[in-house]
Amino acid sequence: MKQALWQSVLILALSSLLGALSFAIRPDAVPSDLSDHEIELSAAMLLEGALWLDARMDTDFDSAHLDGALLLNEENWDAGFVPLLDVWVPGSPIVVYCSSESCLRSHQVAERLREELGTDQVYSLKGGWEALLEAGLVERDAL
Amino acid sequence: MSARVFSWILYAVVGLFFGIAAFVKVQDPSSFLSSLLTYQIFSYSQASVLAYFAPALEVVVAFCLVSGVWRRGAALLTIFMLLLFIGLVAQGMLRGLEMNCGCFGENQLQTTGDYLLKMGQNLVLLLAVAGAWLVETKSKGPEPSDG
Repeated sequence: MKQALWQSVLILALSSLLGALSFAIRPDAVPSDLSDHEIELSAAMLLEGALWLDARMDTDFDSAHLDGALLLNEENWDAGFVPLLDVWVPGSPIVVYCSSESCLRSHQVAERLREELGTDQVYSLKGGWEALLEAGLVERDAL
Repeated sequence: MSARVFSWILYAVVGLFFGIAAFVKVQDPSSFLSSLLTYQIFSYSQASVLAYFAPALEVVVAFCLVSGVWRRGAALLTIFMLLLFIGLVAQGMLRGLEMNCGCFGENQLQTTGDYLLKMGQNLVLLLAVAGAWLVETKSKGPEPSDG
């Protein structure tokens, strides 16, 4: 048992090194700060002419979504991005939501949109779908 | 089939599971981070550290289980990780959370059935490692003076 414990310690040490190396190679693999470009629901509701995007999975969107929201997620980017270009007016804000506070999908979609559209006015909704539910703006999944 | 081969097969199967799980996480660390946050037990900074550390640990453990290098230590860590994971999933079920386990990419846990299935899967892996350990120990006889 003592041997197993020592080996465990060695494995943990080696894993820590590998983890640190992984961070050194890809420090941006996970976002370091979520508060950047995050917007509260109350503030988002005040944005004039805002376009709302649903970054959840296709099945979630099909089940229920905010009225007027378009589907755009990383899995089917092209399928969602082309319709977005048809309706988006340059200069108008975009609000992206995903499932909850812990969801990062909206941050990833918002960041990619800022890059591809060349605008800074793309926000990630704080609280996501859960915040919309609590505010009574959407109903629980129909399924 | 000899006891030694049987225990290696069990270790290899569990190692393969861990290897695949690590591969998925390494490919998309931010999705794994997102999954960790749904456990509602880790702070953002803790989850960020785990997003880098956990896949690394899984890779090393998988390698050790399959290759035989430091296998006993890897088996001990595997048992600990599986027990920890079962505990984390159980707390999610008891708190009524909708979690994404992050085991092999997107894996939503919403119903009690989802939770029980996930815990069952990990229990099978746990039994496989424990079984391999026992078979290996019996086939080798008592450990040399190691403590």
